[in-house]
Amino acid sequence: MFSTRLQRPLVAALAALLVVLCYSTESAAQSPDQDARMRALQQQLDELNREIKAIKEETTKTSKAVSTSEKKFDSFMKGFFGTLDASIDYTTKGMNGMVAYPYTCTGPLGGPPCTAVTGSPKAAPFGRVGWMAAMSSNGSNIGYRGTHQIGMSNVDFIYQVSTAFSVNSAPGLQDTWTKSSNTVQGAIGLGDTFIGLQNHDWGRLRFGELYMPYKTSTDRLNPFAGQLGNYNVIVSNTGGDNRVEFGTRMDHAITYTSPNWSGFTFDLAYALGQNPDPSNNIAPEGSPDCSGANSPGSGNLFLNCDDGGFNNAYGGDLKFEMSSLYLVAAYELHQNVNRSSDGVGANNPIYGYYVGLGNGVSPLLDWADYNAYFNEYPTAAVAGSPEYSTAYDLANEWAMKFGGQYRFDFGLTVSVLYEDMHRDLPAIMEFQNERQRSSDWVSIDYQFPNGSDRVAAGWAHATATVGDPGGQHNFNPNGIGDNEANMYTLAWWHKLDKQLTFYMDVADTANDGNAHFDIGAGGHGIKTDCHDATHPLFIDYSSAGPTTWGGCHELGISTGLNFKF
Amino acid sequence: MLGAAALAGSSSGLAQATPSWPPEASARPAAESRIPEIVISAARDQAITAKVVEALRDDPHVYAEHVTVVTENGVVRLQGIAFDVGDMQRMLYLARRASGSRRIVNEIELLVDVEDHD
Repeated sequence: MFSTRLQRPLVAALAALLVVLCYSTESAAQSPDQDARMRALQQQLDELNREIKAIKEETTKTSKAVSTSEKKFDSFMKGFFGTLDASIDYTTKGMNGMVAYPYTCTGPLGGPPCTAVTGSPKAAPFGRVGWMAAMSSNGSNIGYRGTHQIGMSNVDFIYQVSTAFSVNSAPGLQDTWTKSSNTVQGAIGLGDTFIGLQNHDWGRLRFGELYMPYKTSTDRLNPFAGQLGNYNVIVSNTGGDNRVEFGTRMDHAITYTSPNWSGFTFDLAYALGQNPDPSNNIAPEGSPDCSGANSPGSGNLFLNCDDGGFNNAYGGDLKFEMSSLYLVAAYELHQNVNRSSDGVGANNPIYGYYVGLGNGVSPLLDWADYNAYFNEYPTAAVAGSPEYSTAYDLANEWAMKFGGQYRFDFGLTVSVLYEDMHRDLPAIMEFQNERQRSSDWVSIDYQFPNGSDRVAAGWAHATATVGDPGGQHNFNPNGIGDNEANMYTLAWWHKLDKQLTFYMDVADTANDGNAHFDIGAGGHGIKTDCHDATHPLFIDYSSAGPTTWGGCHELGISTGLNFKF
Repeated sequence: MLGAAALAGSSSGLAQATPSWPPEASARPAAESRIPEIVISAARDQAITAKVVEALRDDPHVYAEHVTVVTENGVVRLQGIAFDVGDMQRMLYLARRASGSRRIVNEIELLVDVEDHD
C-alpha cells in the first residue's frame, strides 16, 4: 500500500514532465535557455527515477522483513505440542460380597498353617465398590520444545518445558484417601522438562526432570498407553496398586542418548538421590515429594519417606531397530529403597509374631521410633504398630526387561516383553518381600490399510512374589504365592482426521486371592483399584488408611477422545 | 515442522544437475558421466525426502507435524516426536513405502505422558 500510494503521483509527475518536454521540443527553437531548461528537466527526471528506485528497494526490504518475521513466528508456534484426552469410564472394583477373616496360625515364627476364624468376620468392603461411571483425564499434557544452535558450532542447545494436567478437574495438590502428594498437578514442570546439548556425532545429553530409559525404551510395546489395561498395570509395578515403581519420571536426572550406529542405540540415566538421610526417610533436597512419589506420611503413616523412598537411581537400555524389527533390553536400579512402613498395621502373622515377642525384643522392628511416638501420643500409638527397622528393610531394588516387536507389512504389529524385578532383602525379611517377581506382556495391534482404524489386544501376567507384607484387609497367610494376576485388554481407535481420535477400550484384571493389581495404573486418570472407600477420620499415623482387598476383579469399559497438536 | 533437508551439494549444483528428476532411463548414463557423483547422490536424496514428506503430508490419518525427514546417502531418517504408537508405526510404514523400501532410521521420540495420580 505504501509503495502504491507514492508511486502513482510520481508516475503522474513523470508523465507531466514528458508532455512538457515533448511540447517544448516541437514548438520551440533550440536556444541556450531552452537547452538549460532541458538539462534541468532531465535532472529532475533522473532524480525522480532515483526516488522511485529507492521506494521500490524499500518496499522489497519491508516485504522481506515481514516474510522473515512470519517464518520466525511459525517456527516459534511449531514448538508447542500436546495431547488432550478425556474418557467416560464405566468400571467396577469387583469386590462386592468379599469377606475378611482373622487367622490363627500354628507354624514356625507364628506363620502358616493358619486357620480362618470364620465366626468373627472383619468389616466388609465399604462404599461404592461395584459399577460406577467416571470421567477421566488420561495423559493430557502440553509443552514447548526447541533447539538453539550454539554460535556457529555444530552443537545445539536443546530445551523442553511441559506439564501434565487434567482436562476435567481443577489443578492442585493430590490429597485423596489413597495418596497424598505435594506435587502440583497442572504446574509447569510436571512433565519432561529439561535443558541439554545435542550433536549429530555424539548424541544428546539432557538435565532435568525426565522419564527413565526403562520406560521410554519400551513405550512402543504398549499400544494402550494412557488407557484402561495398559501394560503398566502389571509391568514395572512391583507391588500392585496404582503406583508404578520402575520407569517413572525422575527429578534431578541426567540422561544420555547415543547416535544411531547401524541400527544400535543406547541410553544411560542417572538420577541424583540428593538425600541427606542415610535411610532416605526424608524427601530429596529440591523435590516436593519423596523419591518414588508420595509426600511424607501418605497413607496415614509417619511423616517419613518409608513407603518406597530411595537414594540414587541408575538406568540404561540397549536398542536395535532394523526394518520392521525392534529389539530392546533395559535395566534400572533404585538404591537403598526404604519400605519400613510395610509392616505397620499388616496382617502377616509373622510380623505379628515379632511384635508379640515384646517391646524392644525383635531387632527387625523399629521400637525406638515407636516408643518415642507412644510417649508423645499414647492413645493413638496403641492403635498402631512399629515399623520394620531400616537396618533390615532398606534394600536395593532393580529390574530388567527384554522386549521385541515386529511389524508385518499388512499392518499387524506383534510385541512381547519379559521382565524380572528384584528387592535384595536379607533372607530373614523375605517373608514380606512383595517386590520380587516377573512380568510377561504380549500384544497384537492391527492397523487397517488406509490408516483410519486400529484394533489391539493385550495380555499381561504377574507371577507370584517371594513373600507378602500382608497389607490386604482380607490377607490369607496360607496363600503366600497366591498373588499372580492376569490382565486382558481390547481396544479400538478410529481416527477422525490427523489429530483427533475416538477410542473404545475394555480391560479386565483377574487377581489371585492375595493380589491387588488395578486396571488403570501407569497413565489412566481414574485407576479403579482394589481399595474400598475406608478413609481415616483424622491423621494419627495409626495405619487407619485405605483398605486393600486382595483378589478383587476389576472390569471396565472406557470411551473417549484424544486430540494432538 | 514437517520439513525436508538436503544434506549434500549446493542448491545451484542441484538445479543444474536435475532439470527434471529422475531423468529418463536412456539418458541417465550420459548425464551421470558429466555430473559428479556427490551431486547425483544429493539430488537422489532430495527426491527421496520429497517423496516421504509428501506421503506423510498427504496421508489423511497420520499426525506428523512434529517430524522432520532427512535423507543421507539413501538412508531416510525420521526425527522428531509422536504421541502414540499408531502414528509412529504408520509413519515408518509410509516412509518405507514412499522411499522404495530404503533403510529407515527411526529417531522419532514417543512422548507418552503417564503421570500417575494414585
